[in-house]
Amino acid sequence: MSETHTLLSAALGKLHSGVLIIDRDRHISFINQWLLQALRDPALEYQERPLLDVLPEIADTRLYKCICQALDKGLPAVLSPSLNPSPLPLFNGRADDPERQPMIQSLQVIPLRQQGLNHCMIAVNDLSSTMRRENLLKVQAEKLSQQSLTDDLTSIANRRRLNLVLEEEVRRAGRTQKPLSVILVDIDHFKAYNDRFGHLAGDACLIRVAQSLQERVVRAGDLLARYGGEEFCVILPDTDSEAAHAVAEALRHKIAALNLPHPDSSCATNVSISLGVATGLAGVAETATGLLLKADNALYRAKQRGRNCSVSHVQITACGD
Amino acid sequence: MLEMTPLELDALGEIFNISVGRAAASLSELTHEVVSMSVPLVHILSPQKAVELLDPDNRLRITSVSQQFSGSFSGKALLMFPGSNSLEVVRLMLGAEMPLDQLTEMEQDAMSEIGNIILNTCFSTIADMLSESFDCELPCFQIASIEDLLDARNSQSKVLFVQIQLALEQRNLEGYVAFMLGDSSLLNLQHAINHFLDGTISP
Repeated sequence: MSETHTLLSAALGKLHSGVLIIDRDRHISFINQWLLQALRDPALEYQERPLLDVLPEIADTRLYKCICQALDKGLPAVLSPSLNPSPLPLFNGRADDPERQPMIQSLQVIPLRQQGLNHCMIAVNDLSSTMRRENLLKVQAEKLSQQSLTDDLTSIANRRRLNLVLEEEVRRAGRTQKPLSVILVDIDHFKAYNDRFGHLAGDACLIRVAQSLQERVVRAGDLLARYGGEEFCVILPDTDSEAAHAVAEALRHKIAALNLPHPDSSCATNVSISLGVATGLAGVAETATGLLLKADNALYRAKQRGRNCSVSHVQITACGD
Repeated sequence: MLEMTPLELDALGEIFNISVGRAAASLSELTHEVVSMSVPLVHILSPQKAVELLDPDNRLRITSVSQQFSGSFSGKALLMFPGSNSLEVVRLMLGAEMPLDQLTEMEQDAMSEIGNIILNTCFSTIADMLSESFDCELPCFQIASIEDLLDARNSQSKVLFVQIQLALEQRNLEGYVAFMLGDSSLLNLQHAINHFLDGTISP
């Protein structure tokens, strides 16, 4: 028996995880070497001392309640690092390192009640590096999901994000019975601009236009997205046709004010845009695709009317042309 | 087949009602979120019947946390969340959105702890009210079909089935607590309930 005892405590002493055994009176019956080294002061005497005398910080914690529950009721418990990062005052690294970091732990509180025993064992694992790895994974995953919704060139929302947001806004408009407007924006004669100045200048022009449009699309809930090559789309929740048309004109003036020379344009001397506005009216069932089609239709009319102008879908239907 | 009387089922309902109340309080304290749980519905079913009710096509993946227990009645207790409910429960409790459609390792650990808290309060309330004691094993996390979890094809045991609603941040998430008990264990449970009822009705 005594040889087994020596053998077991030698084995527990070599473990790379912590073992702490508490008796019925909440005294420490055993603490292994690994756990001792991770405590703030490994030189203190822990064996046979009351748990709360040597680790007063754990009084009133979930861990202490779990220890009592294990001793009094025989119920085991787990303490996960996401819900309780550092239940025991344990640290990574050497005890004499003044910048020791708190250890992120996973704990199991296990009742030991066989053969007249009434103890509980706390098994401790160091999950600091696992936690770091998982946080890294989370950051990466967030970045990826962000990227998949952003346009690489202009850093505004991409078509995918536009579709997601528009679907949601159409549903919301249906629920709240409020008007919802979209504006399609097209840079006039962009192909000619690219042909004259080259693709790099073309890209730079797209970035300038996107930034400039974004400055005017700032209301919470509004969204500017890149719709296609030189096409952009603006979603304006809770905005009626008249207000949306005013936004469209403001956007047109903003781009004109950029004064980006465009000698091959037939409709202006500088880079200009054409816009098509469509509004889903309150109380009228509308789909995202239906709304975009109407805006596209209005944009087509704007181009027919000589570009560098904006047309609302309601104007088309009202004039009957 | 062993049947419970309405009075016995009511007593069980009361025991689980107290349990989920205590569990909700522990979870609120742990997560600093308002967690509440509705009055649970209690049924006694065969595992086959439970499968038919929950997932007749046997297609759902159920996230479960289970603990073996032994005492005057023995068996396995499970907390189960169907489909993506477990993701929502863990992420609402951790207050962090992880852009992944599966529980990560750390989230699985958190789920085990949440399950452990809920199951432990059930054990401890049953022990208190029926003056019984149990030996319990550590919780075990598993994702499987309901049929596999309840071992429905082979099992002769009965399932004490408790439907719970967990309310978190205006979301209602349905989960189930199930106690799988052999026939003799169920009989012992029934005795203990009757003993408890005798005590409460004629003190």
